[in-house]
Amino acid sequence: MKKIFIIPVIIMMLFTSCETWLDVNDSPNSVTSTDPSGLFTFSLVSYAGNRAGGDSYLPIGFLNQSIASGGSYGWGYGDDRYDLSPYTIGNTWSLYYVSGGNNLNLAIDIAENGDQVQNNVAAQCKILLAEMVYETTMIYGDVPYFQAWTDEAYPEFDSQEEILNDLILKLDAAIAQIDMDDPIRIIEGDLVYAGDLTKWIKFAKSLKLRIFMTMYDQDPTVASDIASLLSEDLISSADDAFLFPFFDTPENENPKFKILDKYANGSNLWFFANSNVFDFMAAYDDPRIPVYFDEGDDAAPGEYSAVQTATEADGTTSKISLYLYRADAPEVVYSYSEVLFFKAEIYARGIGVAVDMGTAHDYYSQAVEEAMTFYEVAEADITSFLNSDLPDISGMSPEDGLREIHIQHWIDLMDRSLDGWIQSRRSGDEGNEVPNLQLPNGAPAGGIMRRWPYADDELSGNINAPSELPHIYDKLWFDK
Amino acid sequence: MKKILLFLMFSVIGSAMLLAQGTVTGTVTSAEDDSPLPGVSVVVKGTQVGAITDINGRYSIVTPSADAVLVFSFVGMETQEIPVDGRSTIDISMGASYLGLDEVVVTAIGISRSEKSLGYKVSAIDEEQLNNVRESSVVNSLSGKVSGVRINQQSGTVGGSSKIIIRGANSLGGNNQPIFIIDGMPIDNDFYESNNIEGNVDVGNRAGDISPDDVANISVLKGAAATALYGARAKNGAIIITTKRGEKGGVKVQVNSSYRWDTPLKLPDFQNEYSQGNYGVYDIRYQNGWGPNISEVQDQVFTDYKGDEITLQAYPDNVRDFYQTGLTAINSISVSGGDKSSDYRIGFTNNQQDGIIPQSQYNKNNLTINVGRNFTDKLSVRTSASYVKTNSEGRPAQGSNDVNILASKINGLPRTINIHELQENWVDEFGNQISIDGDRTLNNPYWIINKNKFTNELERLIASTELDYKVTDWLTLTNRVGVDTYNEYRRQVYAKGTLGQMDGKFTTWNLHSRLFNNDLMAKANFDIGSDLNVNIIAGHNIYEKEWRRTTVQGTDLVMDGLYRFGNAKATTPDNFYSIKRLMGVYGDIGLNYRGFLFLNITGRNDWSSTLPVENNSYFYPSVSSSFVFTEFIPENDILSFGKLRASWANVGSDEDPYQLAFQYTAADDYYVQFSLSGNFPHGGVVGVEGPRTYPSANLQPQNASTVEFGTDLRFFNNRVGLDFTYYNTLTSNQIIAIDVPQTTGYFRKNINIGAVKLVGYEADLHLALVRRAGGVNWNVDVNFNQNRQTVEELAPGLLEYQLESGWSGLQIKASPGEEFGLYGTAWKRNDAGEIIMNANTGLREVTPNQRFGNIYPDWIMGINNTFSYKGIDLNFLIDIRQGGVFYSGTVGTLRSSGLAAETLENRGETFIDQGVLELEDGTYVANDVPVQSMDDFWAHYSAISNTEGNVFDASYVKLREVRVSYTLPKSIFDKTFISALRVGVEGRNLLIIKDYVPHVDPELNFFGPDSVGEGVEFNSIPSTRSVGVNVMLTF
Repeated sequence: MKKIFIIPVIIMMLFTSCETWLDVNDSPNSVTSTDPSGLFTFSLVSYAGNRAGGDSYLPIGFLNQSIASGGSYGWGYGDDRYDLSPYTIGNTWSLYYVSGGNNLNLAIDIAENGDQVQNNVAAQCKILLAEMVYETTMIYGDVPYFQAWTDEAYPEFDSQEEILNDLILKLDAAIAQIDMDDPIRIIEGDLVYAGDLTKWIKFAKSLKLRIFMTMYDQDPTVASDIASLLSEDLISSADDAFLFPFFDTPENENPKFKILDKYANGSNLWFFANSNVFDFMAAYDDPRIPVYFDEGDDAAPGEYSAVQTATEADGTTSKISLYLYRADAPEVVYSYSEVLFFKAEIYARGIGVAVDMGTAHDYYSQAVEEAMTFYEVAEADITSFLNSDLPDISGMSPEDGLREIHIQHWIDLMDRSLDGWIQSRRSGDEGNEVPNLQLPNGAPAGGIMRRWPYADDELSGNINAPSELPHIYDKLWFDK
Repeated sequence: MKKILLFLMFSVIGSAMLLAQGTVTGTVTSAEDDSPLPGVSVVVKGTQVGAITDINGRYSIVTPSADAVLVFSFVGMETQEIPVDGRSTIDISMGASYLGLDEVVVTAIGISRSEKSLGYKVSAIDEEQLNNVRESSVVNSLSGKVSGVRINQQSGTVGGSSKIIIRGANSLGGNNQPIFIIDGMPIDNDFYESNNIEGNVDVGNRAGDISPDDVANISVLKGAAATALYGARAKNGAIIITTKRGEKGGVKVQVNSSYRWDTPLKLPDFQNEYSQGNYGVYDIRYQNGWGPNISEVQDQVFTDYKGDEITLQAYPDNVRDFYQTGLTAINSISVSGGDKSSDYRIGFTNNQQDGIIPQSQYNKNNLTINVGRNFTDKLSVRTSASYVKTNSEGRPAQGSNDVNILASKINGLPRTINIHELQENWVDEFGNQISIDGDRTLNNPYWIINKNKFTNELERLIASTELDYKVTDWLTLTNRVGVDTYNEYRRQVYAKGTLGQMDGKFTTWNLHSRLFNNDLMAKANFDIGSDLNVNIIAGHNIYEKEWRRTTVQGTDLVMDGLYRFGNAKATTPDNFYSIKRLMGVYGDIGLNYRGFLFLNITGRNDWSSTLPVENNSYFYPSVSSSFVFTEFIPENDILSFGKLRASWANVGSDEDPYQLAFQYTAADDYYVQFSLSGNFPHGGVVGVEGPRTYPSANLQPQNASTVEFGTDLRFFNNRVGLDFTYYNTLTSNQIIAIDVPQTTGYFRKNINIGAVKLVGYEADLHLALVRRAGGVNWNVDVNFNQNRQTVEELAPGLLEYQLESGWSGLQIKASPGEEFGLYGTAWKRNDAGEIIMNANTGLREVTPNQRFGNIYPDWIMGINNTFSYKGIDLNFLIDIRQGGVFYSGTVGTLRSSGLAAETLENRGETFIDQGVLELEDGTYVANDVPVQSMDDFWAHYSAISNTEGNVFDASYVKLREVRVSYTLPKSIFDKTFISALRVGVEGRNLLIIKDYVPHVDPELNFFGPDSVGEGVEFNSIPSTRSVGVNVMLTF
């Protein structure tokens, strides 16, 4: 009978070490503090993957008619007819706010409030974040911004105008935060500029130009800001361009390459030349045609042709080239030619400067040259094109000259769907845009797609989301 | 914690003050053949004092007084009540009854109790019912046999998984699987999905490792009151398995052999008139049926996938002939025996299965040992151990976005492909793949089968030892310690030359799991006065679960067919480890008033490692009561027995490990749509990611509260039995990761919120329609469960919570006031409910994110018929499901590709879909716009992204099991070494009597068994029909 008193004793022994025994909840799979550099890299790579992948490059290319699906012969009609997968809408939303945006915000917080203040790191993160926010509002319009990435559980939606104005302030602050003498900066993890702060400043200033140019139609007061940027040190050579590198190594390839490599045995079965780009090029006998496109399987060598959006392609239709879809094709976020196109436009429109078609032509011609050089067109072909095919706009009316600038700008952006979408919407009043896109066959009535719907998850989860949802054909603030 | 200690000490010391009374011993034998009857329950009437006869039929019981009455009961035997009358030895002989009135069932923590004392419903399944028709998986053999238990066989994959849901899904957070307990040891029933929904291979859940041949009986604990002693781990119910033991007497050898032949239960209905192509023009790029009418182009020749010039011809059976007849051989042998102080049983089962997919196979070997010994009158030990080895090869990939997915390639075969010819033409003379399309983008299914075999190998040991020490006649100390550990190796390969993975790739997974569990218990039983018996259990439990995974992926192989990492140009390794610990103390006080009124109170306190230190302790109580009211009704011919039961319980539970701190992880990859995600390092640089789910440092334990009422009624001398249960469970304070606006920077946030209510009825009806001793017997058993799930609450302002997602907008969501539902893109309708058409195309307009219905059934029913006549038994089981919706990606693909039979309608004719056109003034007129072609119509109507076109009613009626067996008369073997021989013919999943889904079995499901998601299928392997023979020989 005495033995039973062992039980409480045993139980008490079992309890003594209870708290230590239960103390096993520190994860060996993660850490609770980190250096900001890795967060920047993750954000940057995720961002580039989204831009080049099936949630941005493809759907926007189809909806903005810079790529043709070829109908049933190719990728199918869904995207052409604005049948956007809710996943695409949601994935891109989450890229900008979570994998991209939030990791940059976490990095900025660590850089500014960590044990060691890292101003340059914070500035690198802020400049990249500004580009991401700009893209977000260019796709979705009014979006949460001032309360995003804060403790606010339901961030309020801000107007595009306020967001764009604030991005300028943020970029100025980031530029001011850079300290060239401070060696602490993201170098290895900076896959774009390898820690070259001069280039980051050039990119930041060029981004300001891009934002102002987007705002100008609705807010002409930015003209003076635009004019003053002309004398600033913007992206001034191909070497300054914001190019994100992909590699010809397994799992580091450009997603455009991977989709064909994985599902189409490396050949392009799905993505075709769209008449809305091709016809402009063909009209001027553009030497980029064989660079941008590969002949259709049944076409004769050198025989190029395109199809309209939401139209059946066939064996003779030209395909987007495997050169553009190579494994190590970089994702271009800002090219030198783009700065030059903006400058040409500024002089043709007289934004903050007097209209000067001669200067406009110089920039226009230089822009086309840079654009062709970037796509590795042979120098002789470029020279010949500039000399004999490219119209001289110096003698044109500003309206006609501007149209030519927009045409070349549009052609240059064919492989950059999102940037092309922004450009085509800002290229003129409705009806005068370049290109003048028509509602695709079979698309819902109302008008061409000018914005994406908000992500379902945001609408269902955020009590501050707008209750009256805009139509996909409603214009964003900047789109006049 | 101190209070609990005090409580434990009090109960132990308090019990010691009571005096023991006399002891009665004896032997129980069978009236039929005088053999000893083990497992007979002996209970002192009016108390919970009980004993079970050992393998020799012997028992020993402490009686509170000399005039006590002993109640002997045993499944299938007539219960007997014998007054002690001062005797110390009582031997009895028991005869067969038709319905056991007072069965003993195994309840939580392995405690056997008399069924009539229980205040909650426990369903017990014995060996006979379980192995009526042999199955390689214990889970599948429960199908249709237990009320409130729904089994979902996920696919026709060999050794594939089975989902089990008891009384509906109560958890928003995911896993709704019950806990499995073998001989007191909680075991792992995890399902590790290597590839998520993309190219997922169904490698089976771990409960499938158990061999049904080793199982003596199964108790299904359904409500929280029944499982309260297990605590959090059993919040979804418990499946308690007791393995077979040896019996006293000579060596008994039993051999059991089954051979089964498996064929697809349901295959699609194909059209056989049109070839592959586009808008009527032959084109081998298209794996579809939109080409020319075969009969109209007999004067032409076309180039086929081999490059041969052929005249088109339909092969109506090309899909059917792809599948082979699977063969399953289940052979087991067991040796058992025992003497007066020991028993043993050694069982070996070999399960070999060739699947219906050529070259897919699954092997399982179980070696099970159960040994018990009484060292002294006071000290006894029982050890059971099971070693399992399984391996499989060629289990197919399912889902979408993976080149190895097989079902879509088989179903998508153009009607003009001769499967036998294809089988011979998958590689050319140089070893290059012969693709089934001209573009060399689509893999030949035989390439996948021959070159890209998924393999796995698992070794598992489940062992436990129980030590019992009888301190005094009324007090026993028990310690039960056990471990369940396994290592599994998986390998998925993409051979060089696989289209879509030209350079080859392979991934290996090394998985390790270990569960450790120890229960230390004191059990006391004594009387207070002559009318009240008290039974007290006090226990302490520790539990540890460890998990480790190492995954390595090698890409770009140098040499073909060599799957070593040195042969890969790039490798991406990943590893993961987690551990979780739980400690609990528990107590159970059972009161028995004169054998007709019972009250049980339990309490358990758990401390979990996964919750914040200040919240990591949680207590949960339960109360249950049973009242045998027929004690107060004069004996009559109508109501033979009646009992009412009621229970209430409140159970807490914890969280997965590592959910509390804000953590950064090294990123493995970055997301790109269409499964094109890239890996880190990128260009040699690694990425670091903040959490996607915002952690909560202050999580509270979640809480499930259950009320259950029931009655057990037996009429007309037990010829009719009705057991009815009502339950109401509210699972609240659920720890879930709710979606937050992503603009906060996070996808989700862990919070304690959300409540799901389950209200349901369960009924078990037993009818002994014909009952003639030695003659015909016909029993009908019907079980029924109606369950209504309601999402009671989500976070404030949150109207929907996404539980699972498929592709292209298909989602499973929870929404307050509703059951879990299927959502996706629906046809756009006007206020009158008419479908709105596009005026340009004549096709239906769509609108996203609409609800189609509940994913779970309204009710389920099993009807089991048993006929027996002189050794001949005939059983058949019908399984019925009513309600719920089902999405079939396979149907969508079959239709949009013009291969399904129904796509023949209106081809080449003008077709105007029924609906309306919206006019500019907002009014509607009947649609008069014809579709441009039927190709366009079906491509739109059945597009994967247009969910509604592929949604069907999930109801079905199935003939689940049929068995005819014959037990040869004993007299035949009088002079031989054989003591019994039974032969049988059996069938499983024989027939879908009624369903509403074309082309596929509505039971398929591509979400894993641990997901709440179901009713969704993408390219699943067809489920199988099995027919076989069984011979059981005992000697």
